[in-house]
Amino acid sequence: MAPYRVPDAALWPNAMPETDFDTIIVGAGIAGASLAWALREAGQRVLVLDACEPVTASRIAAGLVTPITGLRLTLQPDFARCLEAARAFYGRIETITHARFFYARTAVRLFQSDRDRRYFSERSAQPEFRAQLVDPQPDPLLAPTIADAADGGFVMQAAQLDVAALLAVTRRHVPHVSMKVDWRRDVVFDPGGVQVGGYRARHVVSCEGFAASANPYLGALQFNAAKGDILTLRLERAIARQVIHRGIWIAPTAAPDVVNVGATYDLENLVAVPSPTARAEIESKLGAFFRVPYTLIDHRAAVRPIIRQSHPSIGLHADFPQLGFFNGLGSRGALLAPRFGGDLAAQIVGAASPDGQPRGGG
Amino acid sequence: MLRATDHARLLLAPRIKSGDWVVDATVGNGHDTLWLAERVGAAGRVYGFDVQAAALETATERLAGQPHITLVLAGHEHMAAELPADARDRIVVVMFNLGYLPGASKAVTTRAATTIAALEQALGLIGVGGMISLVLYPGHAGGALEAAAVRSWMQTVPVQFAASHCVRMNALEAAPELVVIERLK
Repeated sequence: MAPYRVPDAALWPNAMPETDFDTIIVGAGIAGASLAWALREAGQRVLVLDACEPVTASRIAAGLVTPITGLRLTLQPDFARCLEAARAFYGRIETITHARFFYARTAVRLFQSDRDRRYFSERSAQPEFRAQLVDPQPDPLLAPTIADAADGGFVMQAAQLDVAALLAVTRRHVPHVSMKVDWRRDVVFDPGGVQVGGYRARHVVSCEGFAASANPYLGALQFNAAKGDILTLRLERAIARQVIHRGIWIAPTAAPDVVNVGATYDLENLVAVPSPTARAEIESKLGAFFRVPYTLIDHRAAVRPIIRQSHPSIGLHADFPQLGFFNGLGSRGALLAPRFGGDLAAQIVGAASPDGQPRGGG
Repeated sequence: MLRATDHARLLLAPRIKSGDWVVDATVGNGHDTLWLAERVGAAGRVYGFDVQAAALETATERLAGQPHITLVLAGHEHMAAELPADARDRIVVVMFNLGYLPGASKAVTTRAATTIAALEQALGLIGVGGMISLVLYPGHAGGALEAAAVRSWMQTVPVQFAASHCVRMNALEAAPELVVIERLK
C-alpha cells in the first residue's frame, strides 16, 4: 500500500471547542458538588479535581439542616427560602440519579438551663419562630431515650442531607479526576481562561474548604477554622429517627441503631486527627441526658472552614476573573450550598457567555 | 474471557459486507485495521486515523499490499474533514480503541474532548444500520475521565441511534468498557 497520508492541518475546520471544560471545580465536598450540579443544569461541561482524602469535613458531616440554633436559639436568617431552594435542588438530583439522600426530619432541642427557657419564651412571640415548631410538643418518642424529660425542650421541623451519599452519586455523574492541585505549580491563567494540571477551562473554582487557606490567590480571605470530632455509636436498641440537640447533636444514620454524635469545636488544634480529649467531651455531654447504652464504633475528625463573622465567601476574584471561590459554609453547608451554589453558577455562566446572559441547557 | 475488543468484533462482523466502507479511528499497531480490511475485501475501503507517525509506520508494514486502505496521520477529530465528501451515510462501521499505543509512550493518549468531537462526526458518517464501537480503558490516567465523558455524552445521543454500554460488573479493577452505537433510522 501507499505510505500514509500527511494532510495539511490548515485545511481542517475547527472541530474542537477551545477549552476542554467550561468550569473546573477544585474540591469535591458539599460546595463543589452543589456548584457542579448547578453548572451542569446550566449546560456547562464540568470537571471536578479532588485530592480524594478519605476523611474530609464534608464526608463526615452529619448534614443537619436546623432552623433554630445556638445558645440564644437564633432563627437562621432567611431559613424558609434556603430550605425551599435546598429541597428543590436535592430533589432534582435525586430524580436524575435515582438515589435518595435528602430527608425531612424533626429535631428536638432540649433545654439545659433557665436561660434556654427564657430565650424560648421570648422568641416564641415571633410568628416566624413559631412557624418552625411542630406538634406534638414535647415529642413522646423522646421519653425512653433521655434521662430527664422534665427539663423540657421543643421540637422543630428540620432536615438531613446524607452528604456522603450525595458526594458518591456526584462522583458517578460528573467527571472527577483524583488530583491534589498545587495552585502555584498546576494553575496557569491566560486571557482566554485557565489551565489546571493540563486541563483547559474558562473558569476554575476553589471549593477546597479549610485547604483554601493555603491558596496563594485567596490570601485576602480571612479564614478561621475549627476541628470537629464526631463519634459513631451502635445503640443497644434503635431509637426514633430524629435529631437531638443538647450542647451536642445526635444524628440518625442509614442504620436505625447507629447514630453519629458531635461535634466538638476546637479552634486551637487544627490537625484532623481524632483526639481522646474530644471523645471525653462528647461522651460527657452525652452522658448528661442520653440513657440508651451504646458501643463506640468509630471516631473521626476533620477541620471545617469558618470565615470571619461566619459569612460564606462566594464570588469571582477581582484580579483573576477566571477564578471563583465558594467557601466558608461552616456547619450550614447542607442548607446553604444549593442556594449559594446556584447564585455562583449564574455568575459564572453569565461571565462565560459573550452577551452576558446565561446559556440555555444543552 | 470475552475481552471488550473481541466483543466489539463479534458485534460488528455481521454488519460488514464485502465492498463496504469502514473507518478505524485509532489505528495504533493496525490490528483492527487489518481485521476490517479482510472483511471489506479489495472492493471495499478502509480509512485509518492516528496521531502518531510511529504507529502508522508499524501499521503500514502490517497492512502492506492492501491498496484499499488509506491511513491518515491525523487525530480522529478530523475524520469528517479527511474523508471524501461521498463518504457521508455510506460508512458502515467506525471502530475506536482508546488509550495509548501498546509499547509506546503512555503520555500520548486519546483525550476526552477530541474523542467526543470524533464521536459526533462518526454519528454523521454512518448510514442506517451502521455501527460505531468504542473500547474505553478507565484504568489508566486520563482514561477514567475520558470514560466518564463518553458515558455522559452517550446519554445525549439522538434517539435515531441506540447507544449501549457493556462492562464487566464483577471486575476487581476498572475493566475495559465497550460502547456500541447503532444507527436505527
